[in-house]
Amino acid sequence: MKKYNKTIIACRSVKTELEKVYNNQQNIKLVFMPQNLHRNPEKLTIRLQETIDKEAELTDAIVLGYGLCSNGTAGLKAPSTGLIIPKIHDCITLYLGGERNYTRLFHQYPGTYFLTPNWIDNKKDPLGLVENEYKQRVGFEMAKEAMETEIKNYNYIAFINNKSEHEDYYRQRTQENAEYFNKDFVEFEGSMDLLTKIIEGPYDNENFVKVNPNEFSKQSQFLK
Amino acid sequence: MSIDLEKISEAITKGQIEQLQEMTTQALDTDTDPGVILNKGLLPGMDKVGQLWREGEMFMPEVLRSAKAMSKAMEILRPRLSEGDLGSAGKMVIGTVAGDLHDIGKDLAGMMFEGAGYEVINIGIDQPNEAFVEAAMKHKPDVLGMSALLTTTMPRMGEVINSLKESGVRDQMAVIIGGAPVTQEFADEIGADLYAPNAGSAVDLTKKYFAQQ
Ligand code: B12
Repeated sequence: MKKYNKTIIACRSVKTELEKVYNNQQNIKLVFMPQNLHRNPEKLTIRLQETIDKEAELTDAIVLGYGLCSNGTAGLKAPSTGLIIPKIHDCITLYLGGERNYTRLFHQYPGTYFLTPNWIDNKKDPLGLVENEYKQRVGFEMAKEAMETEIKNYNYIAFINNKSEHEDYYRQRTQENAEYFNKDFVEFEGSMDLLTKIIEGPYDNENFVKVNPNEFSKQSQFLK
Repeated sequence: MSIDLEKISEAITKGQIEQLQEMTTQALDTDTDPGVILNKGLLPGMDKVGQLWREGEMFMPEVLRSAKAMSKAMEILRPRLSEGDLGSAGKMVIGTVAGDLHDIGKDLAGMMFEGAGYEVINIGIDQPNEAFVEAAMKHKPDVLGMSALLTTTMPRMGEVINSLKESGVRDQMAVIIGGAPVTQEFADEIGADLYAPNAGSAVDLTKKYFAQQ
């Protein structure tokens, strides 16, 4: 018998939401990886593989709290356990409960920059990036200008509301971002459906990619 | 005193906008050939930027600062590049596919092609499939470039290629695709002629491709 029935290796960007569903179940282990890895998909693959190799010894099954993430989860394998990966493109789909909702909003609100509590807490919102990352590297003026250039094509900054604690704070911070960068604020209702499934299952073929032990995950498994 | 072209490359990589403008002007004043300034100074600098980004050494605001430096230097250089240089290599249409608003990489790729002597028609971001086909019919480019940074929007590139076929113009141009999630495998699958992992190699690959035709 291994120590855990299941290990979830997930991005920090879904930490708040996953912990809410998790409820301290003793037979399930949660492992979080830094959100910064999303900047560099090749590094993400390497770091994920290291973590998988380490955790596989202790558990019967590994589920990733990631999407394809620019091929960051393509080319992974787990020796004994195999892998279960949500069949989605990126974390935005996770907050919204599935690809269908994402696609609908994508068309209804073209040019949307999505924010969630973790994005804000990890200071990955546009204002947070300017204040905590960009400014230190290039000075405030250029930092602000860079962010303006980055999001010049956007119309909306959206708050995805998953009914977390301090909801008002996150809404307000999103509004502050929208105002500062001259975008329209919108709020979307999130969904915990997919996040719950990551922890509880069932891992149906419609929503999850299954990778057999010792086989590699492939981009094409996500795209169909 | 002649200008050290390596210093120009370095100013690009470091995003030193004013110094770069000065050096570019000075280089022109000392009769350095504008084509040489571009190809031996600016472009290698920009190529380095793409590389450092991929390696995680440069961050977004620095990449954008370098891109700004490059376009400021181009403003000075462009009027002096002879008619012969601009457009001598052919024409390129480039854009980002529908639903996708990422443009930093596409613009870098466009600059590299401009530097290599292409007349570049940048049709912008979030371009519906028809816009690519229309631009292809109107401008009759030698190269059609498409960029996608989202795996959700990547399939649009295959659709554009199919529409080009239906319009009967597919064979009149080389189609090159790029963007972080794009792979050679995907390019083969959708029938693109070329895939480039970065803007620098894109130009070389294109040259090689035409040399073999
Ligand atoms: C900067 C960035 C943004 C900026 C875009 C700014 C802009 N004006 O373009 C902002 C913050 C606005 C943004 C928004 C979003 N983004 Co974004 N973004 C990035 C990031 C960090 C870097 C992209 C970039 O500019 N790189 C720098 C340039 C120099 O590199 P490059 O684009 O790869 O280009 C090089 C080559 O690929 C090549 N190339 C590129 N195009 C072409 C074309 C041709 C013809 C050729 C030959 C070569 C070529 O040459 C370039 C130079 O060498 C990537 C992560 C990554 N590492 O790619 C995520 C990433 C692409 N984004 C992502 C996501 C999810 C989003 C959002 C949905 C996030 C949100 N919270 O709302 C929105 C989507 C909006 C939309 N509809 O497009 C995901 C995509 C996941 C997926 N679904 O596939 C990524 C992969 C991050 C992640 N792992 O989560 N993003």
